Parts: sequence; C-alpha cells; structure tokens
Amino acid sequence: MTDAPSVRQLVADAVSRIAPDVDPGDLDADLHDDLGLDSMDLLNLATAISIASGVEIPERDLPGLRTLRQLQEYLARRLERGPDHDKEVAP
Amino acid sequence: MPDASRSTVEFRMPSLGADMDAGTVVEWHVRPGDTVHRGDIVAIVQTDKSDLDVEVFTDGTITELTVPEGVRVPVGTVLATIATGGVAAPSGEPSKPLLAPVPTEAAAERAPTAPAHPDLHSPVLRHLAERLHVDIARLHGTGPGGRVTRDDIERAARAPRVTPRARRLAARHGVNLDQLAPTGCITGDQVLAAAERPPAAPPPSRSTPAEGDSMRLAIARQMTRSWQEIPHFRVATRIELSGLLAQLATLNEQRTVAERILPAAVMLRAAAQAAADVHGVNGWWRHDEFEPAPEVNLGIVVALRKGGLMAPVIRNADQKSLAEVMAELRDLVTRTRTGRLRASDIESATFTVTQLGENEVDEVSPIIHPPQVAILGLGAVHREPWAVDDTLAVRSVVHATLAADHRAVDGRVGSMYLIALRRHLQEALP
Repeated sequence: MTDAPSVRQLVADAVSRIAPDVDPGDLDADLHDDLGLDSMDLLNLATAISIASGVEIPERDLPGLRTLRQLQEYLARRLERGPDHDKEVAP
Repeated sequence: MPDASRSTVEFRMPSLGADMDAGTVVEWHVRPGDTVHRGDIVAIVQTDKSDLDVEVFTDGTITELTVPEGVRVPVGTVLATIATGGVAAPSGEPSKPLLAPVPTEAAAERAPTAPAHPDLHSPVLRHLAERLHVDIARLHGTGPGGRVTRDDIERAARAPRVTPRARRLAARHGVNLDQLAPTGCITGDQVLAAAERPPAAPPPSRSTPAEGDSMRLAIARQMTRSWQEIPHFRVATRIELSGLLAQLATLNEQRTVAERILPAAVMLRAAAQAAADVHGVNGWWRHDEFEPAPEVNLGIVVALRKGGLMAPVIRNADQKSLAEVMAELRDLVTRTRTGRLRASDIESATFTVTQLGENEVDEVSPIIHPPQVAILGLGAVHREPWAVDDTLAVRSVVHATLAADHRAVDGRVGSMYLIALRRHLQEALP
C-alpha cells in the first residue's frame, strides 16, 4: 500500500471523482489558487483520500496540503508510520 | 375498454428552473412495457444550463414514449404515458402531471413554441444554416412567433452536447470527446464506438458539466430579466463571527475529515432559519402578487470552475441539523461540479444564498433569481476592526447583503431578515 504508484493512483482517483476537470498529472499546481478548488472541494478531496487509504487527516494538517504532490507525500509518510494515527494528539 | 382499476398519467417536460421554457430528452432510460417506481430516473433532459436526470413521481408501467430522443419540446409537453395500478381518475378529470413543474412566468406567458417551418425563414438565415450544417427545420426558434433567429442557428452550430452517460463512458474508456463530433449531441453509443477504434494519441480530455455557451446564454437571459423587471433594493450589515468560528474549530478538531463542518454550512442553515422567521422574503412574485412559500427551500449558488453557475436546492434547510445541511451541501456541490444533478435538485427554490467567501472579496451585491423575491449575498469572512464597548478590537466578520424585490418586500422586512440572520448565526452552536 505504501509504494508510490498506489499512492499516486489513490490520489488521482480521488481527484477524478471530486474534480473531473482537474488534470491529476498536474502535481505542483496550487489546488486552490491555480486550479480553483474551494474549501468544499478540498474537504471532499481529503475525505475521499481518507476513506480510500484509511488515513485520517486532522484539520490542522489540511493547510499544509495545497498540491497533489504534497497530498501524495503526506499520504506516503502517514502510511509508512502504519495505520491508526487517528487519535494522535498534537504536541 | 380499459381496465377500470387502471389509469393513465402523463409524464411531462418539467420546468427545471425559472429560465427554462423548453428542453430536450437526450436519453430515455426506459422503454414501453418497463415498470417504473416513484423516484426512478427515467430520462436525461438537457436544458440550456446542463443535463439533468429526471425522476418519475409515480409507480406504473410505461405505455408510450411520445417524444423521441433529441427533439426539443416546450415545458409541459407530454413526454410519455404511464399506466398506474391505482384507481382510475373520475372521468373528465384531466390526468395529473407526474412532475409538478414550478410554473414560471416565462413559461406561462409564452405560448408553446411551434416547430419552425423552413418557408418562414429568410434566405439569409437559410444560407447561414446551410453554411453551419444546421438543420433549420429541427430548430425551435426563440424569435417572435417561434421564428428561428440568427442566434438560434449559431447556438445550434456550436459545441457538441454530451450526455452524462457519454461523459461517464468517455472517462472510463479514455475517449477524447473533442475528437468525436463537431456538432450535434454525443451519445453513449458514439463513445463506445469510438472506444473500440485505436486510441488517439492525446490523453482523454475531461469534460465539465457545463456546456459553456448555452449556460452563459441561460444566465444572461435570467439575469437580464431580473435586472430589467425587478426593482431591487438592498440592505446590508456586518456580522461578527469570532466566537462561532472558534467554537467550530474546536468542534472540528475532534471530528474525522468526513464529519467536519465548514462555516459555509453554518451560514446557510442560519440563512434558512432567518427566512423561516421572516417569511416575507421567502416565496415568489407571480401574477402581480407575492406568494409566500410554505417551506424554506434554500437555493445555493455553486460556481463551476470553468465559468457559469448552478443553484441546487437544500429542501427544508431550516428544519435540518448542521450535520444534515453539511452533508447535503457536500453532496450537491460535488454533483453540480461533476455533472450529476437531478431535476429535483434544482426545483422549487424559495430563497437563494450566494457566498463569495472563497474569492476574498468583502461583499457581494447579488441579483434576485426570479420568480423568487430575495437573495442573500455573503462576502468572505475576514479580520477587521470591530468596536467593543468603547474600544477597538480585531474580529472575524462577514458582510451580509440582502437584495429584495421592492414589489413584494419593504425595507423593514429586509432589515428584520438581517437581524434574524445575525441572531441565528450567534446561536448556531450551543
């Protein structure tokens, strides 16, 4: 699950469901400023990714996830650490 | 002699918005003999704004499809007949339309558009139609007496229309819709045929729900009508939200991403509750009088990324919990932007809200969607100086502007609405 292609695919699948007009290969465009996703789209995207991967994405992490590459890297990192970091408390 | 226990009901072209006076069945999902149940999607209807799934509101068996795919017909035209198993209607009573269309002034005032006859058209238009490969005899004109205009021909010649099924199949099979057909309507079968051909070199293009030009025209017509007909007045206020946003942030920290609530949902619910309190803003201006609505069906303006907008409806939004409003908002926004709205999603709005919160503009001065009589515009929540007793503080504030139809609403009622909105926002979270 943590290999790069499956993470890439997972993020691309979520994008094509939530925002079919966005090119899932455009990894470095800012989802909000460049691609025009609003807070509802971004939340829906995070939800779709969270459900598909089993990784819970806390509210405080969302501001740092502005591009598809950042989402991929975040997801890979979280999956590396293993499941169930859901209840982890911020320091 | 038909079975007395059965009756026939007519399935008519619904009015899917105040600006719609005709539509096209681009795909039937049923055939004569099929059994249908209330809520089944039986057809895809194309309006100027988008393609919509249309549901049936009775149980029965399709007896006849009276309008074939691809033919544009006026609102109210019988599209199909359905035999129901219920008790027959008393003789002489007309069968009820299955979809209760929202009567619109535009539709009521205008006689059904007669199919245009080629002899009626000037040589200039016939020549234009020939040049653009448009079958003028199949066009339904928007000019006087149903006459085809230059605009009608040029519109018909522009971008191909794509059915939702075609769009889904194109995504699945990697078919580039741009390369399918220069004019006309792209159907699912055409996409399947194209998918069997060797793949084209460029990657599949992703289509949007909006078909730019026709949506632009529909918005243009509706907004021009609103601006010309409705004597708008506006009242505005600033509402302080720091406490609410802090509470919401705390709440969201404890929630999973799927359960999270955006400030937009809180504001929409408060807007609906205020419309329920001050019902003078909730309803329609029809036949020279205000018709109050029995419930609050909140139209929410959803902008599409490639331009244009739709206003799907959260029904009885004032009666729903925050979580319910949020869930519906998520669902409607996603389906609006992925081209999967149903006809019932955009019917019967009684009051509309537009939020420009994402665009970092402080306020919006909105235009009413007729026949509604009011619309609330909310700007971006931003930090600004705020007087607290005799000192200045910095607080999160939203500017709320109510535009109302002065034929139906007076300034006092408009002000009461904004006061109610403030109260509901301040009481939104326990």
